[in-house]
Amino acid sequence: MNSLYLTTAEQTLFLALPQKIQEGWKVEAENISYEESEAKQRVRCKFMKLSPKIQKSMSSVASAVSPEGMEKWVASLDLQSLTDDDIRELFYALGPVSIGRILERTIPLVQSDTDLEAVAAIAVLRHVIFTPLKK
Amino acid sequence: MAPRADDQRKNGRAGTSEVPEQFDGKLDQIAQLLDGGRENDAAERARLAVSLTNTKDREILASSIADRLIELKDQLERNAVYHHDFFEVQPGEDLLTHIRTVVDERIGRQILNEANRGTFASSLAEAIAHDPEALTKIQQYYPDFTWDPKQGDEALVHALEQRFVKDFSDQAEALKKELELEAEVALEKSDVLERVKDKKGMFTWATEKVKAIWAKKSVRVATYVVVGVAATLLIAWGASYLLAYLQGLHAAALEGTAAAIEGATEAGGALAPVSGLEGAGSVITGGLPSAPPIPNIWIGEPVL
Repeated sequence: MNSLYLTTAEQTLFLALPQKIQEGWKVEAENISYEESEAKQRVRCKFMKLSPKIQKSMSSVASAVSPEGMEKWVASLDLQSLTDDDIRELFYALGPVSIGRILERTIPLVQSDTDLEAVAAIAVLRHVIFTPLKK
Repeated sequence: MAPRADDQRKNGRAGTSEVPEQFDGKLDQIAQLLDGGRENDAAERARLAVSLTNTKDREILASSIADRLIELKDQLERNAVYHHDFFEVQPGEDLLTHIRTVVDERIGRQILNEANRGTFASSLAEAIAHDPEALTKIQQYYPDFTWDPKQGDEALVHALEQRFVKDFSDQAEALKKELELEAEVALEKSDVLERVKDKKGMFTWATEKVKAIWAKKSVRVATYVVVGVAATLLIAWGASYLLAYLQGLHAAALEGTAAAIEGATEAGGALAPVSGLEGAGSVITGGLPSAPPIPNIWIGEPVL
């Protein structure tokens, strides 16, 4: 897998990276059409169905009302144990706009192939989840 | 006229049943359920009535009712109506979330349904009119609320009832829009399942990579994704039922967290900490009450 599904703005950020890092990647234009709103994002979050382990993490979120509590809570999240279904649910809840903002922030930080693979993976999740099937 | 649930208790049935025969979201039923079958307290009933006038408080109240139903699960499961409506969940579905949704929906029906609205408003008005503290709260909620005290209690009840009916009509409009949005998202979600099935290879590759980057917190990108996911979980947890509790939490907390995680990574010699992380956190927390709202965004081809 060497495709990077990026919007025009994200492509600009990618093309600003050192040539060596860009090598071997094929940029594909991302053309998702999606009407986003705060209300819709909330409903998507409300409809999330997560596995019991992640649901359990939610019960300790009450400690996250201060920055220190938040740090501890985020650090306690065992995200490696997320199932594929959890990841689909989470990225759907995030939505293409928030995912896009994450990508815009992360692409300029890329320093290695591993970093770029992470960017590619996030972009692929957005592409798969938010591109309607051709009928 | 059928006797009210609290009248029934006052007439010697107190304590015979902690719970109403069924739960439709009416004030009597809520009061009976939450006071555990003890003699109903008029002030408590008035307090509940005030909560039911307000969308946000209603959600918090729905959460308390759901907690109470869970507490009474062993007893209630013997009642076929409760068992079917509240305790039968789909595989993988969280019981408390399911109950909370049903309770919320039942209370919502009292407001959405025009036939129910008048009776519901009347029950709240009666409870509130006889409690000065509750009435003061209502005057705070509705500063324009007026009535003629010279005309007695009945005039007050009538004025409150009229005010609630008007307000519930507006709330019903908002609720209808919310339900339409929920239906749209439900449909979209079922499409997402198909999309993932259709591109299973790509999806699996990406999930494996995402899990791998989470395993290595030294990857800077992971920090942003972790914070984004954490914020999403927070919105999901807080947006519906505990908004008030999360009022003090905003993007700064998430930014601090990202910086702290990266700082810890830096201590291990992996990457330099990033300053001014206003990206993932602030965008995602737009959904939280204290953060600025996300404007309606149309992402069409010119944008993406």
